[in-house]
Amino acid sequence: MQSLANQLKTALLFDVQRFSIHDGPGIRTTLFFKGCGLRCAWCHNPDSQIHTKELVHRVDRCSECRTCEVACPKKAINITTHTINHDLCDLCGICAEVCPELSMQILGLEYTPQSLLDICMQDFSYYENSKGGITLSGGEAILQHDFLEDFLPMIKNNSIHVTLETAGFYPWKFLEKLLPYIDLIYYDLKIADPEEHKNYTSKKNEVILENLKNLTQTNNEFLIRMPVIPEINNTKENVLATVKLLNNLGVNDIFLLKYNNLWESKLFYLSGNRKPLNLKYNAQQFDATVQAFEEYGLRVSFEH
Amino acid sequence: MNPTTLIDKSNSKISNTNAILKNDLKALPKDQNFAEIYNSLQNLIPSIRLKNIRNSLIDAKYEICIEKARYMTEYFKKISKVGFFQKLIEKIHYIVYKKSVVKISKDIYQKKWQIKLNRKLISYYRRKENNSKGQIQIDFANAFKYTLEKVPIKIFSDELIVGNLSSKRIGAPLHPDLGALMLLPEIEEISSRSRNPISINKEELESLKNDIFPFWFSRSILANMNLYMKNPETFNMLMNGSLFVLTQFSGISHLTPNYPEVLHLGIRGIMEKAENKRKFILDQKDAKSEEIQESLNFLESIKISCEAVILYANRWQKYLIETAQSETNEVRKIELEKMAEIVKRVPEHPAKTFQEALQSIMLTHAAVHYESFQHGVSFGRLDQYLYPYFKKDLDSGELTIEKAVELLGCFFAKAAELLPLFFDKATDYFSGLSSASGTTIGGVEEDGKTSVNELSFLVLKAYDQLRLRQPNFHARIHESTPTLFRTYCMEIIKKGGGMPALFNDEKIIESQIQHHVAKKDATNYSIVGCSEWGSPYNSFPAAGAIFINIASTIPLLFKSLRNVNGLNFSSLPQPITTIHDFKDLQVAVWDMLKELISIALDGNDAIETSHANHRPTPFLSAIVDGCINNAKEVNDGGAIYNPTGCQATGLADLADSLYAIEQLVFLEKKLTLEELNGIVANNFSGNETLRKYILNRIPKYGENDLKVDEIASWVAEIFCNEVKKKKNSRGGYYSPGFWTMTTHQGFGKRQGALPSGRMSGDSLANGVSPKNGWDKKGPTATMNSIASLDGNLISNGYVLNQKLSPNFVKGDFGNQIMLGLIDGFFSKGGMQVQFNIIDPEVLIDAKKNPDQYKDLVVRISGYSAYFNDLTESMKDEIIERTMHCSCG
Repeated sequence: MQSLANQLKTALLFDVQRFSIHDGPGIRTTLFFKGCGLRCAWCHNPDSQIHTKELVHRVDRCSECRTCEVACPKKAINITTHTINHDLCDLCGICAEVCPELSMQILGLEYTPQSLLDICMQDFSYYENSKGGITLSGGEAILQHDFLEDFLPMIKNNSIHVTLETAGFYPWKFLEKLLPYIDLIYYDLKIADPEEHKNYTSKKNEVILENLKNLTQTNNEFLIRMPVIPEINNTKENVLATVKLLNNLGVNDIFLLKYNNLWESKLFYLSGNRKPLNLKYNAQQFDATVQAFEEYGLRVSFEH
Repeated sequence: MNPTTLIDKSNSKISNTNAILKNDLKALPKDQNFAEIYNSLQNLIPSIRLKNIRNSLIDAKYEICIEKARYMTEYFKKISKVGFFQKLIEKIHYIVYKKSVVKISKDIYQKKWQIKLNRKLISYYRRKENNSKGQIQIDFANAFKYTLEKVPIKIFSDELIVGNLSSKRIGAPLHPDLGALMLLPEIEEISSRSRNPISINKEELESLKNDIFPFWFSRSILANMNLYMKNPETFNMLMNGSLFVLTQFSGISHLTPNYPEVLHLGIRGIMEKAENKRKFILDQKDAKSEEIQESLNFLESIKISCEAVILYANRWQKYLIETAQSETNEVRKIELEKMAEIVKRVPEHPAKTFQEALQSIMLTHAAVHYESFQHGVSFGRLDQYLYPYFKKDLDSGELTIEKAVELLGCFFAKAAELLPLFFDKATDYFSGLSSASGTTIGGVEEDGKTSVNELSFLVLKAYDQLRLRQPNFHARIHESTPTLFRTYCMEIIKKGGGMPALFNDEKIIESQIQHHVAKKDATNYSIVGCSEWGSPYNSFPAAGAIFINIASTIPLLFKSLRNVNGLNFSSLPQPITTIHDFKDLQVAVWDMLKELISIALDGNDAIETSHANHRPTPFLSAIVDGCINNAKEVNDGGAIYNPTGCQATGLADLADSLYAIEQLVFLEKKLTLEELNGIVANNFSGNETLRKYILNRIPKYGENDLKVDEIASWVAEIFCNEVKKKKNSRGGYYSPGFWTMTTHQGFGKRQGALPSGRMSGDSLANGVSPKNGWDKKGPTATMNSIASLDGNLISNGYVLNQKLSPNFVKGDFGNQIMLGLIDGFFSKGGMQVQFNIIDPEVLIDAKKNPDQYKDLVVRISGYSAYFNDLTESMKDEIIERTMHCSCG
């Protein structure tokens, strides 16, 4: 499916957020690309992981009007049991179109470069006046590099600032060819130890670190970010290992993200076997992590 | 390699992105001129005097003032020559009329024959009196003088600027000569009514019932307007309040007097102007004609009313000297003596100092309010015309920045002493008790240079120290506006309270010029009341005269949706029976709107004519440019500009309803129009699924959906064009606007369900904003929808309420976001925006514990109000507005 999407040079996004003010400078439109190579246990956009469309049924919103059941050409929906027969469903989306409650939803919408540009241009005047722009987020936006190769030059033609939020897990060449079009990169590090990294994200971190090393050798502006996950990556060992890693690369700054567990409220309607982590942000712990990094000589910033 | 090394700990306090942003910004315009004032204001120690004044105003109870009513009645009774027979008829008439007012308050309307009989009687009284316009002007000038000779005057502790807008600390003057009779059914319970109780003592109550109301019921505007109503049914439609509201039967409203001229010439100078005009007329050949006699009478009435104001100032002087004599505190004694000296000079003579200038305006402003009920009397471009006085005193060492802020604060506090007195039903439409005195700062000169000066900053600072609900502060923003001034505005806005509101100079000036305003006057525009832009000092814009519920047009089209509600709709087009496509529907809506506008405007014409013929305001005429020159009273078209404001309420509701019908009936063909109407008539009961579908699946105005926005633009266009076609009785054009005060709640309460999915009785959308909570795509989408309306059509203002969570706008980064939103919106053609930045939790708590939040100020429409003064449903609306921060 993904390769097909790329052939047609369309992107699959699961959300477009306008007036986004926490994903880069100024007022921004954040594009959430669908599909990611990692499966982080704390991923705050669990609906972004799979790189294909998904049909979800939000039982909490359903009023059992059965409009969808009647409309489904494949008879794949059973509202009595609130189940979808995914073997029959071909993701045609008719159920989502007719559902009055937004209870049937297709996650993932396709965009051509032009249609996405049109959406971005709607808020151009606000980017211009706040020194904002667009942010590529996800999921992992870089996995849809073929699309971006067409899309980003169009964006730059309009002099729009581009920020990328990336987890760094993909072949370097995917990112490399896009670098001229990206003004600022938020590059995420999660856990320094490769095995631990695999435990929590499903993949080792070698590729991520290799890509980061490559990035430090370019002229691109970037900022390392780390989500502080209580008990998981705020340990003394991980902080020290991360500092070493950054020292080796000559990086002096890190931005720490506070953990938020809102994603757990999405789990009930998503397929797959994600489990809640049952962790909570803890201000004291967060401050201690900030202090730990500072003690090792890094400049730490974070959102208040 | 170039990592973002800029970020250090100090910047990280705000946000990392801010650091990057700073690096990214182009060099800002130089603000050297204002850096000094900005910095000195940041470090200014708050004035204890202002704090004391603020506290005393917040703690004051609301009281009715009947002094003006009493003295005016006394005077007119003295000169009245009513014979025994007429007295008898009037007595009987009053007994019957009282009953019908009580019935009206219960939505039981007058029969046609009752209206006709009433009109016959009033017409009989007027014929009997046989007074010419000029004589009436002189009578009212004398009554004004009689009043100002007698009204109580009082200085309150700590004040440096005197003048009482009413006789109480916070007072609501009652105007029986206008529409106060509508209070009759509730006057006994007014101190204990659930909404906005206002106290009145027993003696005053008796005087009202036995003396004042029985005299004025047949002489007031409420009575006289019936003489000029083309359609007797209009009176009932007005009282019913579901289709339109006409405000001017309660008093003329919304203008900016020529206070700068009062400062330059003094009242005596204005009298001389009138005298010169009189001589000039007398020199004309046919000086004896009746028309010329009327002009001479008018100029005589100006002279009398100006003398009255000078007399009033003299009373103040005497009073202040006496107060100073008995004052034991030496410091205060000196202050009082100085104030006595000041009122000896002003407003009679030209002002020479900053304090004199402020005092001159305030005494004049007080006099204006004793002449008549005038809602929204505004100060114009205060920072511009006060600047020479400020600068001179500052340079001579007479004045310091601290003192100037304190004086401005003392001045503004006076504007918060006045309350409009609404009868209970009117409270639905004008909740928040705003007296709507607009104060405009900033802006641009004709040569494109910024008008911002140090005083523009000081005005904001004075407001910041007071944070009272009045006056309304408006900032004009132009490309040339210094960044530091913009930043200062953001800092003040972010503290909550919704002020200043922001106006887009480029677009508003362009739009004014398109509406036949001279470029010089358009560039000099200021805001009257809530958001009505126009030329100050030389206009009588009656900006708040009319509000029309345009969402009602759809229900009026269909038999099944016409809510009779005790009304006879014979003057409106019959319900339609055949509609084949969307075009048909649009044509029908257009026709209905045309009729509705026509009826409302005819009603307003009747009211304005009755003001001109029966309730002139000579003093106001003296201080509105054009009246003396034209030798014509201000209600009679004497001003240079004479528009009348006509507002549409429910723009979003009508656009959303039209689009929902187009989608459901004509495009998706989900159901027939008849079926849809049936469901809407039943308030969607049993069809919640359809309502949800409409709400969730059909785009709404405010979501930046091109198709809905196009319909909204069409609605705005036909409304504006229909309104602008008509001329009022003063010879000016009607002027369309989209600001609603709280009429969206008043109309909404009486409006059945709509195809937009809005349920029966729910509020309509406010101002030019989308329906509350239906703007799910965030502020940029909302602003784009609004910017897509053709601003050049809108000559009487609009209001966009934008809510932002306090979290989003913290620190310098927050300023940048807000300025980005504002500049982005304005560069797309947006004209006005105001922000409510407040945590919804605070409001929820305030609703539960009103006593702990006496001073909580929130933004309503084009004005701010104490949260506690709002109706319960308006409180809920404000909470809801702040809850839906679908952004970030």
